[in-house]
Formats: sequence, C-alpha cells, structure tokens
Amino acid sequence: VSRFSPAKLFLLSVMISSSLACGAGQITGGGSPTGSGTGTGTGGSTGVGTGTAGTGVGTGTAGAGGPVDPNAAGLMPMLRLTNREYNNTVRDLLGDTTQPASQFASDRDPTFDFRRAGTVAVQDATLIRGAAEALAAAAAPKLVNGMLLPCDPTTGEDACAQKFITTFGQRAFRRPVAADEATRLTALYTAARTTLKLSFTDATGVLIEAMLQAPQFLYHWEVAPTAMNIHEGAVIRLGSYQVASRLSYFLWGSMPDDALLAAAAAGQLDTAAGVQTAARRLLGDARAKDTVSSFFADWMALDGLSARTKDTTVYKTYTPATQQAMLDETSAFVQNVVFGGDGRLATLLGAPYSYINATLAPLYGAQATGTAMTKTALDPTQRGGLLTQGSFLALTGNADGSNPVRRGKFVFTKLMCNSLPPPPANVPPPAPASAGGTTRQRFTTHDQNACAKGCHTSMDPIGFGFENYDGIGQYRTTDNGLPVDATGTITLDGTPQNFTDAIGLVDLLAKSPEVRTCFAGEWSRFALSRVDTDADAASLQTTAAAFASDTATVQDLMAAVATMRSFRYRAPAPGEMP
Amino acid sequence: MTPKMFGKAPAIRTSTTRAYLSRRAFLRGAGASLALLPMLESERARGATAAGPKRLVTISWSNGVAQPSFYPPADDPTGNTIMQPLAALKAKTTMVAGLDFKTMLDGGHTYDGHFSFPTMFTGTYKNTGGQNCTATGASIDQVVSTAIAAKVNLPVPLLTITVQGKSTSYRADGSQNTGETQVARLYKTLFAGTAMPGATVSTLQQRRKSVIDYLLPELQGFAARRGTDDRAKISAHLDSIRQIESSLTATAMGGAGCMPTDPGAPTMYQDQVKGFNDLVAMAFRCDVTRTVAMSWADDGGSGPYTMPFLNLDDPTTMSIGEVHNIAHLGMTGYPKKILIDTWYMQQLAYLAGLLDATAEGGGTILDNSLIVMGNDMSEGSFHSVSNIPYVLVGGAGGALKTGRTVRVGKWATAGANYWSSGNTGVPHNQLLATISNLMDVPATSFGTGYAGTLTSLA
Repeated sequence: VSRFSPAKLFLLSVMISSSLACGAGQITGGGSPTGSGTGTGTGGSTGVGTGTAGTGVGTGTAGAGGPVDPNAAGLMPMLRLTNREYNNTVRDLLGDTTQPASQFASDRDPTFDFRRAGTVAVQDATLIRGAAEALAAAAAPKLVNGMLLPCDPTTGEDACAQKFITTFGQRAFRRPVAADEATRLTALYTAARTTLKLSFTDATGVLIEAMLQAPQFLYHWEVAPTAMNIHEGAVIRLGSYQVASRLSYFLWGSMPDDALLAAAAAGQLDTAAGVQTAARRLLGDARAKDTVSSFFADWMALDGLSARTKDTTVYKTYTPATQQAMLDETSAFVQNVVFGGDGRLATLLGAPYSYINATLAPLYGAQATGTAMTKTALDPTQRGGLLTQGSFLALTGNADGSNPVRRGKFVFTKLMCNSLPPPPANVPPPAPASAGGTTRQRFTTHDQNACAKGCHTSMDPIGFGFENYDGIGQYRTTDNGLPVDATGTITLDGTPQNFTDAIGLVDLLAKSPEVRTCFAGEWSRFALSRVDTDADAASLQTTAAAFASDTATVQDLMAAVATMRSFRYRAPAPGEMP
Repeated sequence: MTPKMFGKAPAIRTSTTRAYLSRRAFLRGAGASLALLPMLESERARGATAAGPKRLVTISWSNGVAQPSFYPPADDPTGNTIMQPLAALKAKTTMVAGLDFKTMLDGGHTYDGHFSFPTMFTGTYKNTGGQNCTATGASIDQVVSTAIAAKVNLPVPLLTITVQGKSTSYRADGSQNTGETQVARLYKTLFAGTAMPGATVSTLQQRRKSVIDYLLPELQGFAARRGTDDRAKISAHLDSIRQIESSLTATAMGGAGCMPTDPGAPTMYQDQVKGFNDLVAMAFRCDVTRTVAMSWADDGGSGPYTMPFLNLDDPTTMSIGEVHNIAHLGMTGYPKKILIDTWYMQQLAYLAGLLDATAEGGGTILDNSLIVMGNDMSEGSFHSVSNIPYVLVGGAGGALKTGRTVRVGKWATAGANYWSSGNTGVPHNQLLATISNLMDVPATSFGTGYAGTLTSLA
C-alpha cells in the first residue's frame, strides 16, 4: 500500500463496486453495506477505516507504529529528460535559451501528477535530432578557447577535439566520459573531418549534435554503461554523479554545475550530510525558484487553464491576458513565499496577500498598477492563499459559473491524498443555470443521483466552501440572484469539521497533520518522478516528519526529500545485471 | 461544408516530380556512397502491379455518435443523416456495425470509452492504474507499414498524426508512436527536400548518417546492464533511430499528381484537420508514405473541447458548446451531436474525395486505399465500448466489397438497428485481422485472442 492508507483504499473499493453496479444498471442506492478494513498506513501504525457503500462516507486514519524497513528503497526507473529539463539543460550547457523542447511532444503523463517524458518514437527522435542540429549550429560561434572549447585549436586541432570530448562530454553526460565512449566520439570526429571533409568547427558541431542525441545526455542515468552497481545490503547506493544529477534535476530542473560535479568527484555526495549541504547550496540558487513554480503548476495542473474556455458573455473581462496573469501570479506567489517569505504551508494556504498586477487588480477588487507582479494586500475575509487565487478558481470553475466538484476534488485528492474511482456511466450533468437556483442547489440535486452519490458526498461538501467564487474566481455573495451558502464539512485526521467559507476551510487544511503528510508525500513523488511503494515507507516517514511542525518550511521539506533514503538508494530492477 | 470533389488529375510528371528524380540522379552522379543511394525504381513495389500500391489510413474520433442518426436503415451505408456527406462516395463506402472492444468488455472496462484509444487499432488492452491503459501489441497501421517497409523503402514508412488527443498507433512492444501535431512542420518533414538543392540534401544526409552510426552502438550498450523495463525503453528508442536510418536512403518518387503545396500553419482546429488531410493526400500522391494513423479528436472527457465554428453554444444546455458535455446529454443533445458527427463525416469525405480525385491504374488512389475510421465508444451518454461505430472508405485494391452495410453479431439477426448497450459478442479484433488480410498481410487473428476474420466483409 503506497499512496493511500488501507482504510482509504478500502473505502475506494467500496465506492468502485458501488459505481460499477450502478453502471451495469443495478442501482443499489446509499446506505449499506458497511465494512471495515485494517492495515499499515504511511505513518506506520495500524489504521481502521469504515466505508459505506453508496454514500462513500468514510474515514481512514494512518497513525504511528507498524515497523518499516529503514534500509529499503523503491525502484528507480530510467527516465528521459522532461521538456523543461531539456530546455534548462541546454541553457546551462550551451547558453542557449531558445527552449527547443517546447516543440517536443507533451510530457504530461496521464498516470502521474508530474512530468515524465515518454518513449522515443520516430517523431520524438526526429524532433530531438532537429533540436540537436539547431543547437549545434547556434553554438558554432562559441567554439572558441575559453567558451565551449578548453583549448586553442590553432595549436593542434585534433588534440583540442580530444580535450573538448572530455570536458564538454563530462558536462553533457553529467559524469566523466568513459575511455571507450571517448574513443567512439573521436571516431565520429575523425569521420567528420575525413569522410565528410568538415572543418574543425563543423566537425566539433557534429560532436555536439551527436552528444545531444546520445542516451547518456537524454536519460537520467549518470553511470558508465559498464560500471558495477554499489550494493549495500538489499539495495543499491547511487553513484556520486547519479546523486549529483538527481539533486540538480530535482532542485533546479537542470544539469549539475561545476561545483556539484566537483563535489561528486570528491565523494562528498556519498553521505546524507554531504547531500544535505549540497541541497542547501542549490536551494540558494535562483534556479530553484523555477522548480518551486514548476511543482505547484503541475501539482495544481495549471497547464489546463489555457484550455478552460470561459463564456465571454458572462465574463466579459476574461481574456488570454487575464489567464496569463493568473499563472504569473501563482508562480510569483509561491516563489516569494518559499524563498522570500516564511516558507510555511499556512502561508501558502492562507496568506491574505498575493502578487498581482493591473490586469488582475479588478478581479480581486484591489489596487495594483503596471505589468509586474507586486505584493498586494487583499481582503482577508475574501482571500487566503493558493486556493483563493484566480488560477486555481478559474481552472476549477465552469465556463459560466463555479464548479464545487472540481474544487472539492482538488482538496480531496491533492491535499488529502485520497483517490477516487472513475465516474460511473450514464450520469446526466447537473442542470444549467437557466434551470434556476444556485450552483449549490443544482449540484446538490445532481449528487442525489444514486450513481453519482458515492463520490460526490466526498468532494462536494468541501467544494461548496468555494461558492463565494465564480467561474473565474471573482468574489460573490449571490449566485443566480440568491444568497451564496459556502458552509461545509470536511473530515480531517479522522474528525469531521465544519467551516463557514473558504477562509475557514483553508485554515483547517493548513493546520491538519493529514494535509502536511500528504503535501510532503507529493514533494517526495515529484522528486522520485514516480508513485511511492511499500519500500519507500521509511523515506516518506522522514519527509513527513521534517514537515510535521507548523514552522517547517518548504525549503526544509525539499532538503529532507533530497536526503531521504529512496532519493539516494534504489532497489535492483527486475532483470538487472549486478 | 459540402465535400469538394475534384476532377481526376492527369497522370503526368510535373516539374516537382522531376525535381525529385533529378536530385536522386544527382546523388548518384555525385558519387554518394552506396548506402546513401535510394533504391532503384525497379526495386520499388510501385509499378510491380499496374493498379498501384495499397495504402492504409486509420482515423480515430471520439465521444461516440448519435446512433439513431448514424446507422443506415438499409444497405446504403450513407443512408442516414450523419453519413450524408459520404453520399457521393457511397459506392466506395462500407459500414461495419456490431463490433465491440471485447478485450475491454471482458476485462470489466465496459464504460471506459474515454480510455479505448490504445485498444481501438491494436485489439489489446493493459490497465496501467485507474482507468488508464496502454496497448501490448502493434496497431494495424504499424503492422501494415512494417510489411510494406520490408519491400519498399519509403521516406516515411508510417505517418502518425494527432490533431487532438493521443495517438492510436502502437508498436509490437506496446510503445506508442508519437503523433505529429503541427501542419507546417509535417509539410517540411514530407517535402522539405523539394526546395533544397541536391548537394545540400546530400551533405545533410551524410552528416546525419554519421551521427546515427555513432548513436546505434551507444544505444545498444547503454542499457545492457539495466533492468527489463529500462532495456525495453532503450530498445524502442533504438528502433526509432534504425527507422530514421533506413528512411535516410529513401526518396519520394513523385508519381501522378505529386504537387506538394504549402498548407501554411493553420491555428484553428477545423483548418488543422483540413491541412493534415491535404498533406496525407499529397504524401500518397508523391508516395512519401503508404500508411497513416490519424487522431482527429481528443479521447478524454476531461479537457474542454469546443468546435466554435459549428455554433454549438447554447445557453439552455451547456453554454460554450463543449463537445464532451453535449455527448453526455444523450438524446437531448442529439441536435448538436448530429452537427458534430456530420462534420467529422465531412472531413472523412473530404479526404476520401482528395484520394478519389487522383487517377491511378484503372481507378483512383482511393480505390487502392483503405480508410478505416473508428470511434472510442458507442455513444457519449454511455461511454460504452460495445457497438463501436466504424466507417470504411476505399476498396483496398479491389479486395473489399464496398458500398454496403455489414451487420455482424446480433446486428445481423436483429434486422434493423441494434444499438442498445451490451456485449454482442463480435470482437473488433476480427475487423483488424480482416483489414490485415485486405492489406496483403495474412492474418487469422489480430491483437490478444479473439481469433477470426469477418468473412462477410471481403
């Protein structure tokens, strides 16, 4: 059991069977049967949960206690650079800011919250080749001593090419180039000079082109193909250069800098303390800001905002510029809280201020000028942190109104780490606004549909808390001419709790240990680029513990993630050679 | 929009054609290495038969159809409202009614219609968590293109296009063939060489060949010690590089009517569909490819998907006219859904019309081709993967008896239409196996299990 406590999984199975029965036309309705499940949660103790079929009401509590293996670590599947990582890497490797991977196929993985690039099909290989050729061509003027070259070719072209292979190769492959790899690159250079009759610069360009298409560059696996694994008990410790790249790609979304490669060469990344030191240094670099923005953008699925069409007859002021400003606002907000503010979850979820510009000022009824995102105080009775920002509310809003289901679902799945079964077939959508009544009234009716009930009773009472925000996040006190009711209930840490509106809801969320553990888990999965498994239980305990205190910061959490067992060790893969 | 029909283009060589031929002649004359030389004309299958080569196009669209307005009342496959755009081509159109994604039904994924793209043309299914899934075998377009590639070296053995949504094209190892998403970029891929001097092409190809010679052993060695899953990823990557390597030595032939014209860079959905259709027709005329897998529509129900050019917005239903929501409305959404479904048939008719406008052998390119269009579910209000709408256009070189509605399973005995949800028992694997045979790749089964072919089709 990984992401969810057994109690939650049990509840899930009850809800799934309920929905399947419904889909098959055997509607059983709410109420019974009632079941219970036991198991070991991520907190380590035995949890007990109950679930009621049809209503989906249930609670699962993961406590502390059950034994987990502190030496275990999960698998580390070999992954390819994501598009963001590719762009950042060629920026740091070649000084190229053209972001060629923006033209690659999407690296959105429907089975995972964060980016993962897919298998290299012909189309991908063709685009990777095109990018490599363009990057190599653009790098030609930099093929001089002191820039990309470590030598003056006029003193000996072939010798300089050899040095280039070693120095540039170490940065492109993010580890020293093995002797046989250098031999094959030399052969390519020689062929380019003799068979293709290219100049030194053009032949070196061919080397760049080739290295940018090589698996050593494209995949996260900074180990010479012939190197032996470092076994420690049942798991494998990652090599120094693998740790270096893991750190830099987690914290920067880019290749290691020279200092990090030097730390790897000196063996400084072979201990948790050494990794902690390096992680803190990387967190002090501006590149870490982009990672924090990237985490929140993917976690909140903000890339979907551009496709979330709004009814412009209802929201006359909503334009592509508004959309972009919303995304910029959230990015500026999280960066400033994590790197310029107190870095706490309570601030991310509750700050009565944001970073807005003139475009967004009317949305918030606030004063702001210019295009830059500026820290601006907002009405604390109306706004508190990320979940009251335009980006989230517009993304989870309907074309012409709010959508309590989507909003509740985000809290239920991303802040409480619950899962939902697929929606059952044949559920008619909620009635349109023209049918009369508030959004809440219309969705409540929809939720009484027996098919839909199982899930919606989990999501909607949370989502109703956001009823003070319309489809693009403007604050409102009436909906369809009737007063807004934003009260609701949420079960956190096993206890149902009432709130009067979103401000009350986010306050409950920020104080909940369950939410803190979930948030730490999300960062852990982001860093691992995979869902966690039983073998990662000890690692997730350490990251949850590092973030357990109200005063813990996101930077503390990121450093804890970088030093957790599953970040530095891995289980042997099936079929792997020792 | 009424499909525009063209007169048959005369089978003459154009200046563009000569550009292709002269470049190849130049490559030879310039003493390019043997490996870089394109295959001789006589080595190509084209010309081996007077009729011309067979070609396959698979098209996926989504959110089901308004079934009562889709299935024909009688034998004429274009006899109902939605199919009207194909009326002019009814003699070359075939409808197959009564097929299920049985591999999904039998796995309990009856209502996972938004997740059936991997199954649609592979006849395989593997759940990857929740409703997500993948294929475990090759799609029909891949199988056919591989068989053609064994005989003919085409510049683009398999052309995969995703106007929206995901690709339905998969390789034998279950890895997905990524689709091209940009019309302008595809035009360059297919026809850039026409605008380049021969010497430039030659230099570029030699340079790329050198890099590939370097990459192949690197890829072979890279994952040698890694686990099974990682080796499979690198193996798929290696296979892609090998395909690119072989296409380096291929050139388009410039057959009858090969007149590439730049389709520009359309930004609107409807223009993109048209642009890709234009390029597919050009690619066939120029024999750049013979196998195409196209996704026209987003397969998921998650992202908003609108067709503003159809004026579907309506304050009394779903105000922005979101296609998925309209499909969900069932019968009350039919008036809009019929507009949507009909539009897709117009696009199919447009593509078929382009192929039918080029003479080849005693008939047209369409006569030698087979376009297979399939949906991801029966009807948007059910999401059911039984009773999948399939439309075929083209004769597959005379192998397919066209101009009919072929009812299978319960549909064959129910007399009229039988569109209620349920497992009618004829797996779509049998259609895929039949297509394989129509395309001269003998098969008694396709995908995982469910052996057999649709004998009533051929």
